[in-house]
Amino acid sequence: MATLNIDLQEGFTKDEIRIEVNGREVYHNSCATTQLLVGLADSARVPVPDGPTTIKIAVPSRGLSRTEAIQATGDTYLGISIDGRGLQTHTSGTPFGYA
Amino acid sequence: MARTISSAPAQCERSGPVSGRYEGESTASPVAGQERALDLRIDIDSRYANSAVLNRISGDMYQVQRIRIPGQPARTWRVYQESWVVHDPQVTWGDCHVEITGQAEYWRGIHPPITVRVRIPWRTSELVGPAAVTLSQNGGQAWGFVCGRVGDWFREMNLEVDVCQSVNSASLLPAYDTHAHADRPADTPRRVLTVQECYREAGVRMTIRADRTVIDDMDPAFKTWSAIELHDAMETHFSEFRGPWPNWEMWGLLAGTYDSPGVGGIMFDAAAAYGGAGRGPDRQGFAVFRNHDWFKKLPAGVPADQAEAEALRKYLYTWVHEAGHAFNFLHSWDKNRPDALSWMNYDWKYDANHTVGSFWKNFRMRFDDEELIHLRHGDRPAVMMGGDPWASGGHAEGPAAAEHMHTPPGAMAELEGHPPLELLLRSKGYFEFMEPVHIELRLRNLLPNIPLTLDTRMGPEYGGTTVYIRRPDGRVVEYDPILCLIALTETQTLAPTPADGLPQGQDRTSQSVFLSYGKYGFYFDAPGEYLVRAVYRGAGDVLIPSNLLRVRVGTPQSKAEDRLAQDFFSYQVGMALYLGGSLSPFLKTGMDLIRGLVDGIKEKDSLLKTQLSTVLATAVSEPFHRVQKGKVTKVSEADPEEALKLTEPAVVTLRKEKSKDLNLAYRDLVEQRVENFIVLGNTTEAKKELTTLQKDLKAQGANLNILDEIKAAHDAL
Repeated sequence: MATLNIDLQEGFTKDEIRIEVNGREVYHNSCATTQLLVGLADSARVPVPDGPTTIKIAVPSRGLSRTEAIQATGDTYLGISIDGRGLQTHTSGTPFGYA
Repeated sequence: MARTISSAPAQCERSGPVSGRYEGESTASPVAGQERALDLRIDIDSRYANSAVLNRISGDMYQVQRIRIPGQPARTWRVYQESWVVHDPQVTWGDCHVEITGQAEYWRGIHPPITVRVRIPWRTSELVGPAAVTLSQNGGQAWGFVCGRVGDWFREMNLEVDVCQSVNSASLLPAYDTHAHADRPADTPRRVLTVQECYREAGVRMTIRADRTVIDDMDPAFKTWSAIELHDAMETHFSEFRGPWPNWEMWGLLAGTYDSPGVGGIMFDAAAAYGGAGRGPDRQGFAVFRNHDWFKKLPAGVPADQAEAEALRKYLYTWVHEAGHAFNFLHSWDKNRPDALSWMNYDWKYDANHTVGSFWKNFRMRFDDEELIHLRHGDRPAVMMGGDPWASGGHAEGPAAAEHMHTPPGAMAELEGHPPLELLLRSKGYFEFMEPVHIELRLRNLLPNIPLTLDTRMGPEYGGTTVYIRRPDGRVVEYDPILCLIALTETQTLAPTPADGLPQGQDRTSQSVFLSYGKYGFYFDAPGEYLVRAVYRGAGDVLIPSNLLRVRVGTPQSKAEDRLAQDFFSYQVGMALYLGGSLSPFLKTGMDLIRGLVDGIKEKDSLLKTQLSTVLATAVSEPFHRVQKGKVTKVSEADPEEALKLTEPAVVTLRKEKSKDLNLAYRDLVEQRVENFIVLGNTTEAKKELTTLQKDLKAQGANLNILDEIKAAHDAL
């Protein structure tokens, strides 16, 4: 099993967010707000099967959604932000870290 | 822009840079009798290695006050007034001096165009300076200053570092060789960077205090720190926490792990809405988390490999970054500069916009220029720890739509030096929702041998005292009373400070001041933390800022109370409270609402009920007159019996509270009741209440002169 480490990063203001992995809801937050001090709203760790993984992210409060396909292996880090262009994702093989 | 006039003759070989910090007092004043002081920052030539020149000058202005005491050195103190900056001044280099001129831009308030002229001379083998400075309006009357050069920095501050026992091992503070890691700009000058050195390059002389507290965090049940717990630790362990704020003092804690384990460091001292502790004043402290993944390979000494060098570099970054937040920096992307190569950016965020690893390959271990302008030349309260709330104008000083966060001039008027007087604000720390807020203002003579005769009317209505309130949303407002009173000065002589062991009390005087309602409505109408500061001017011959008082206003205790707030926070109730109760038909709705509240509160020990019933009692203690048909007519008689009935539970509550902060309110209430008893001819009860008051206040440690005054009132009956 791999671990998907999800970080809700910039741009959340009392937003509802739902995340599905391979069709199964793994995360739901009805009031995500980015903390300006560190640029992080929330974090979650989700076990996922190794291999191709489909992640669907929806922010109904903004009418935004996005689907990402990744190769899950070991620890995978997924950062999700909202900016002027919409919902943005950023994957990394190492933790993001905040300060 | 800069011009050079000619090459320097032999007698004028400059020994060092002109840039740096200068300090001095006024030599010319457009206002007779007024003295000012100026902290001046000159930033026009290279003053330190690896440090940008920003081509700016800036200054902080202070009002200087002094009293001369025969046979003793003069007591001098200064009170901060305002700050200004000159962007891109005209710089003319001469053989033996430089002249700098430009237009001052003030960070706050409205000012006429002010031209700043600075002339700094030098001679071979002598120190640069002093700087002759004039600030003039359209070439007219001018302030003149002579400022000696203090050093090559612009600001000066202290950092106190404490450490948790669980992470108290070698390498508490970082020292990083800039060539230790291969990923760096090719021309990076080699040097060892510490937190102090990073700030020295930025223009701040940071001193790390020698004393270090080790905080016991070894309880096995304790795992991670929250922002509130970090603030609590700061309140307990930061040696400067009880001192005056704002202040050039900062606290850094090396701790284990934060609640969000992804967080490597946090400047926790900010509003709760931003993820901070929500306990102002802001920006006093930060924490770095040693157990974070970033620091797993942190070496105890010199890094043995690239992984250790990376950990050490990140460790330095985190310390400098968090201290940067305490100087009121936002993250780079929050300032619309996501591509900034700055201590305030995230490496992975920068890399996401460029290529992996590009941040460190290009980062020159510095703040960006805009940040340096703030740090060196920004508005003093916006930079200084404990000043403006974090992110209010953070770094940009005057961002669009942040005008409501601006602090009125004077609100940051903290004091330096040795004043002859102390103005102390105190009250209970917690007020119930809707409870009228009264603050005690106490003036105390600090002179050991000289009595001081002062105007002791401290109510803002008289204009001798101004009160500033920082509301929970961060806005700082000036309390504006409904009434402006013009009256003869009421002077009182405060005895000299008594020597140790002698009775206290004659050297001070207190007044309770009502601050809930004023010209612009209710000032304490939202739950949360408030900060209150006052400035005493007396008859206009002194300027004494007070301490900063924190008070918390509670939340509504029920839905009904929450609903009631809509009616309570109204003109009718506000005016009724302000006047201390009224039988005017124009305020009947307000008085009825107050009566309804008093009747509805069942808790016997409610201080809200206590205060409101006192207002009702005051209204009926005196006869009430109205102008009817052009003639003043008595429309209701005094009803001392009703007044006593209304305040009976209140006096019991205050007696039971046994709080020193309520001594003044307790005494005021008993004195009001005594007057009612006297009107009724019941001197026995009046004496009894005074005797109980004296006994209670004695138990609370009240000063002898207060107890004597109560006894005298008793004996006079």
